[in-house]
Amino acid sequence: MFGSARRSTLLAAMVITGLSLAGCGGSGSGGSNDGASSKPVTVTITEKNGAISPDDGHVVDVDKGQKVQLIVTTDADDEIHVHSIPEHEFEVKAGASAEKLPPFSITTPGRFIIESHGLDVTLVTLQVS
Amino acid sequence: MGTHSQLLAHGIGGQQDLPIPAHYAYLGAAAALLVSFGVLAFAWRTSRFRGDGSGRPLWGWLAELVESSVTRAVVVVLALLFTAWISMAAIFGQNTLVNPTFGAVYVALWVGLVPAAIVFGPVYRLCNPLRWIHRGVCRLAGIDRSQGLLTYPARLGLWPAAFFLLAFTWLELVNPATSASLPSVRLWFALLGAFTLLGAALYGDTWFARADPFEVYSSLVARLSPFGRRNDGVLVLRNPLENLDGMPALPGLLGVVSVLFGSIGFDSFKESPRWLAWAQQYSEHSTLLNTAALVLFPAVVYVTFTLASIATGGLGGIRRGSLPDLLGHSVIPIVVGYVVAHYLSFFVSEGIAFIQLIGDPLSRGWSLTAWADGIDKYSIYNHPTALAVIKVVSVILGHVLGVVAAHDRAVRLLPRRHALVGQLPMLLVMVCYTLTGLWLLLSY
Repeated sequence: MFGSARRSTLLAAMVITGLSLAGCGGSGSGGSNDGASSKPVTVTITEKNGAISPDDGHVVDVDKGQKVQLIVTTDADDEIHVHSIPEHEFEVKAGASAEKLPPFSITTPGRFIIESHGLDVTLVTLQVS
Repeated sequence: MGTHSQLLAHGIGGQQDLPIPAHYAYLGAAAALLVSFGVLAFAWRTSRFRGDGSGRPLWGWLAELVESSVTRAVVVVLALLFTAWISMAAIFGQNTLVNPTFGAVYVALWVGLVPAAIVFGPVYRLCNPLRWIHRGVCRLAGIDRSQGLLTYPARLGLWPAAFFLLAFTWLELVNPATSASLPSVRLWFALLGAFTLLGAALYGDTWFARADPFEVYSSLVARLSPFGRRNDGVLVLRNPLENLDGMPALPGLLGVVSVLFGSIGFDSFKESPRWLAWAQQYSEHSTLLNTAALVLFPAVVYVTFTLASIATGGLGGIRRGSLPDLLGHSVIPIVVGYVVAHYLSFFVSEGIAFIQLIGDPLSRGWSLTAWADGIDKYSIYNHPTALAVIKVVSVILGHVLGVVAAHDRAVRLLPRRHALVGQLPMLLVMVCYTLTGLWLLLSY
């Protein structure tokens, strides 16, 4: 039916096979490390006059199962939501000093957003892999 | 709902996939380029596809089963019961994310119609609840349902469907507070129902095939099914590329595929951390900003494809203006490839959640689907490598089918001496679409 198109199909099949092989190779290196024993990742957030620093929702890389600790300084009471599975919610009180929130960990790979409920902004995107 | 719904992608589900590894994207890009120019260099030089004239008759027992009025009645009754059940949840249920209306709309209908159309062909047309309402009213009033007050203007083509599809993606993507709000969803579907039935009264049941966004989307995707109906009415098994070739080049076909492709691209794009960081500086204008971006993405697809198809040049008897729609069918596989890449994990995880929720439509503690409660909806996310491979492969497969479909159409339309050079702009645009798609999967 396809005649000469068979060659291009073959080509595609080869590239796709190569891709799959490359994929299998890639997963081996990361798969063994569940991160449970490695150092916690700390994320420092400052909320002042309704602004946030850093205010960019930037990506923070975390291993599966690695502890994450948020260190928050705020001039207004707020709620911090970690939209992971299961979700984590923290209340933070206004104050001059930094507040260390209880560490948590995420075991499902993916991207999860940490959000300030009071200011309605995304603080950080956790990338769990 | 407020903040809580803020980051719920597609109205429900807050989880996002990991980006695909960069080397997958490079390999995918290389494959796209190789295959594209491979097709141009080695593929046939005279058109082979015969569209709806092709295919060999389906096995007797299967054809009998599909044509049987009993089978059809069962399918239709089930679909209408499902619609009634969801309508009950939408009207009498609570405005929370555990209401199965959201899953029914954003998962079962919007994403589920794609696999349903590929496996079963244009089933939405058979089940379309609005068609059945129209049919019932016409029967009661003793009117011929194919006749309206006016004749449907042929040059309108599929443009009404393009409009309603854009309206749906607006509901889904622009403002999470809207997409995850039961009153908004109800209002949207009430308006769609009203416009669709009004259109059907004016133009007869042609209107459903031209304007109903879900029926049109389903019929387009059904063109990639191995099943179809031949010109002589026989149910056939055929090469999906032949099926695709049978897609009528209606005005507005390119509009519809541009809206589908552009809106999914926008959905991917708006999840990227860079856009998020930039857009949240203007969070008070987020609806406006998202609306503008949602219109811009399909517009870019529409304009680039139109320019590329017009640039083929060297035409004999065909009007250049009709070329974009004559080639528009080749974007359908690109759309479907990207739908798989974009929605796979969402469809599996939220599909499981939907089954768990549908048993308790009014949040009264009913447990009709309790058997599904033990399933971990997030388990698919534990296979990021498999997900990444499937994503890249489906994008490339969609690209290959699109390029082959466009090639066959081009060698049919263009004069022989011009057929290869004439295809270059088209091919470049398709490569750009695929590279952009892969780039979006990297979610920078």
